[in-house]
Amino acid sequence: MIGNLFISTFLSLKAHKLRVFLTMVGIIIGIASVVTISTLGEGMKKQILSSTSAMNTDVVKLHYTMQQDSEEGVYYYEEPDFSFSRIDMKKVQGIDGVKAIYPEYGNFYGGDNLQVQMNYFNIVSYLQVAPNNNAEKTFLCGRDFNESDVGKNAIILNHSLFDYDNQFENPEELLDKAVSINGYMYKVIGILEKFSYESLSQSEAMALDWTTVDSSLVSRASYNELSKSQAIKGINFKLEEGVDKHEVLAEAIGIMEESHQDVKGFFAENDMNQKEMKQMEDAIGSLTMFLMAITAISLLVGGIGVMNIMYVSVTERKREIGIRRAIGAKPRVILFQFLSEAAFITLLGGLIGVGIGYSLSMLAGGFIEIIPVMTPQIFLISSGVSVMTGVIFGIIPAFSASRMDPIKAIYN
Amino acid sequence: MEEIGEKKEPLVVLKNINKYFPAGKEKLHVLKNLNLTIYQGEFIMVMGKSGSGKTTLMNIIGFLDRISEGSYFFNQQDVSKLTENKKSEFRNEYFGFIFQQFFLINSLNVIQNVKLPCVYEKKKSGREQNELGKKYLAAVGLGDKAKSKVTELSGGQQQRVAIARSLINDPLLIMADEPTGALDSETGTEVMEMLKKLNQHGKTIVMVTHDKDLTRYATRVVYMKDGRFLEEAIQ
Ligand SMILES: Nc1ncnc2c1ncn2[C@@H]1O[C@H](COP(=O)(O)OP(=O)(O)O)[C@@H](O)[C@H]1O
Ligand SMILES: [Mg+2]
Repeated sequence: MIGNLFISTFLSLKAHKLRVFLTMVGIIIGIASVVTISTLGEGMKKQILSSTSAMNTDVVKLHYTMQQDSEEGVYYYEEPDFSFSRIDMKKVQGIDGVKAIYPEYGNFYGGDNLQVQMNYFNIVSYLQVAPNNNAEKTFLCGRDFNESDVGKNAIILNHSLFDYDNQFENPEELLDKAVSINGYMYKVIGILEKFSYESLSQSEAMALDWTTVDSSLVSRASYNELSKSQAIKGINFKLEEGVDKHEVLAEAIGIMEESHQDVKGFFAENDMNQKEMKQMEDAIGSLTMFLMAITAISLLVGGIGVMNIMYVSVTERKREIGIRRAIGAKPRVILFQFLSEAAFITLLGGLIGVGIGYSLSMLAGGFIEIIPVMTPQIFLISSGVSVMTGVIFGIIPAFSASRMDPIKAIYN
Repeated sequence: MEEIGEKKEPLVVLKNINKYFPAGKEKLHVLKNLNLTIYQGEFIMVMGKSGSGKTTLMNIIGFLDRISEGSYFFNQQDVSKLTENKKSEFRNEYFGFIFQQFFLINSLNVIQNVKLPCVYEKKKSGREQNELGKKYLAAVGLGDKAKSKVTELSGGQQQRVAIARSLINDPLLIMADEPTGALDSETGTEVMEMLKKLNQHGKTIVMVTHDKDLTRYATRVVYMKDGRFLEEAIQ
């Protein structure tokens, strides 16, 4: 029965190829646009996920904040009345399941760098300083660290110092000069080339360590020296394998609350990354909503086209309907026949739309460096929506066909 | 009543039926107080001028139209108030229709047309349907045309396909409304011979015709005039 229905559907559509194709255009556009966007969105999500999961997921960040998380995302800054001590760090290190800890000195980005004050004669400027990481650097002038610097205070200045602060006429004038940082004298051995954000590709930007991109560099020994005088804003700890993150976190928070009962703020997880991730997802989500609206409109237009073509088809095939009814087709058989035709048209349109949409997203993905991802959900939802469109807009013509009086249909 | 060898089963019993069609504010009285009983094995011919109500009568007997007044017993069963679904089932199971204009479905090929009533019956497997379709196509002499397009056939061939289609569900009644009307006399005779053979094998046939010559095939002839049977009109 289904097989016969399929055959007769196919035969009657084959007879009107061009007309059927034109009817499908709305559906094709609608489905193609939703597939383009959702496969790109999926690809973007995957990229973000893989880049954030590359950043230590086994690291838990505990910090102290004056304000507990507000769901509405309203934040105002208040100077913390507390910073962690070395004793606090020891206590956290003592918790079962904690493998290692390191302090977070805290700045806007978080991460492994310090905010320090630099004096050069009577010019005062502020620097972010990170320990030298042996990564490849490009120099405006000067050189990288070498053996001759061991045991001495040396610094490579980041170009950002001159980008955000125009107290120096010419960056080169600082090369080989001594500057004072937190009371220590540092020799400027090199100045980094200006960092160019524009030339970054999407994947390079994803991989970039944003916390240190603006930082000047000192040796690990100098860094440790400088950090002694810094307030510890948070404690980051690495977990041993198989340890429940939330349990350890809860214990650490408990210990801190126990030890510091007179503070006004809160001890909590610093989940900046997760928040950023969520913001990203929200942004994609609202973009998706917008595109869904566009899709809905094109499906509506396509659906009306289907309804129109089905009415034409029913009218043209009145006699056929009458004959089928005369030899025993029940009204619902006629209904299903026309419904399945409508659904077949829109499904075909939907599948073409999926193909076109995926090709488009591959093309667009090439420009914005996102590899689109086609998930089974995207495929099933697109096909499902296509069939639904056919059924919804085909039902009225199909119903009118099924209600026809056989004699009037035959002789008209 | 039940004499041996004389047993007659009434298949169709129409009692005092009237049929009106709406015509503007008036009603058109098309069938006027008709009584008709059709027995199994009969080959009845209905004759009469155009517009006398023959087709309307055929439609009523074949559950394609409903009566305005009166009663209709089919196979001993009161069928004046059947649902659309039930009427579809009855048409499918008990009736074979042959029309003047053949009324095949052009988008289907010959065998698909022939087995369509069987498809709607939903009782046989696809294979059985095909077998049966081939058998009836062979019976009307078109065994080699199964896969042909309907439009490639001559008028006489198309009517034979329609006859095969009307037979495939082994109906109780064949309803043929001017089956030779669109054929030349030679092919018309072929079709009539076919119907005659069917009747000889026990099929009950009701046929409308204008052609007086064809009445020789009939076991009974009724004449219609202005919605009445003529002998009643005379009475
Ligand atoms: N559906 C209809 N609506 C209105 N009038 C009809 C309809 N069908 C038939 N008639 C009228 O009923 C009369 C009988 O028609 P019909 O049964 O087709 O006659 P015949 O088959 O004997 O030529 C004619 O006057 C015709 O115009
Ligand atoms: Mg007629």
